[in-house]
Amino acid sequence: MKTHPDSLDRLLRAAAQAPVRPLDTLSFATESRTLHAWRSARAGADLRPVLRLWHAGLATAFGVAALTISVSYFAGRQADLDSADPYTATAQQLTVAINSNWQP
Amino acid sequence: MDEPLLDVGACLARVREGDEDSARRLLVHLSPLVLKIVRAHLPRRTSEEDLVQAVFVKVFTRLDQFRGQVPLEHWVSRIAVNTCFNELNRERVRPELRHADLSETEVEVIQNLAQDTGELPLEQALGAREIVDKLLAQLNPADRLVISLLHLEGRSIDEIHQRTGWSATLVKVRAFRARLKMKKHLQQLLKERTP
Repeated sequence: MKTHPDSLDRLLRAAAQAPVRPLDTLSFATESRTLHAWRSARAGADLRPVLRLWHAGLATAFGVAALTISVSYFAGRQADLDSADPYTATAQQLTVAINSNWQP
Repeated sequence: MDEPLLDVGACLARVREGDEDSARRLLVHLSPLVLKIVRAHLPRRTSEEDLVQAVFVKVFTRLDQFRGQVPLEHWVSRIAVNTCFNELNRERVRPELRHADLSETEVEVIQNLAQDTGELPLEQALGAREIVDKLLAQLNPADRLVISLLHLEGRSIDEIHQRTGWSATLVKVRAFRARLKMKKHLQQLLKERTP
């Protein structure tokens, strides 16, 4: 079967001449939905600085809490170490030994 | 009654300040342009209204990014074309095109294409458009967009470059490849035609 090499061009040229559906205006529903979406987006944008402040506050609070916990942990540990000095430890061991092995 | 000529710059400034009346006027001003683009590149299973709304929401939420270096209409066109392109990208299933699926009008166009070498008569333009739409549905979104802009809307390579952001070379290459694919499908239809 013979096919003309320019069939596509002829088809495209004819298709380009097809009547275009007249452009009507946007429906009220689309217009309203679009404006509503725009308002919502604007409201979101207005809240952005507040949200940023909220996030910053939250991060600071977490930081302070972590710092407090670590400081109190290390302070407690230091107190334990201080109380467990060599003299006290030896005295405790001696007391235990004396109490348990004492033979009159 | 005709809409009075819109002072786009002043209107944009008011829209940025949140003036709803100006936003409505801008919407009315831009709607013919957006409707035209959406209709030209509407994916098969997408509602025209939904896509128009998606375009406008993008336009309005990005108005702060518009610097005025290009006319507003160019900027909006680009957003509209890209939104349609993304929507076309989601449409993955491309039904196979068979001669048996063509309508009576479309079959007449195919017969005419096979038998005659002249231009198709004007009364077959609608049938030709339907066939072209079916051929376009066989292409990937980028190819489809290029052919629509180049051959159906009569845009120049430079205009397509401006609307899509693709380089002129890329546009030419895509158009060439798309035409090859369309030719292949069209020849298949011509072959399947009962003489």
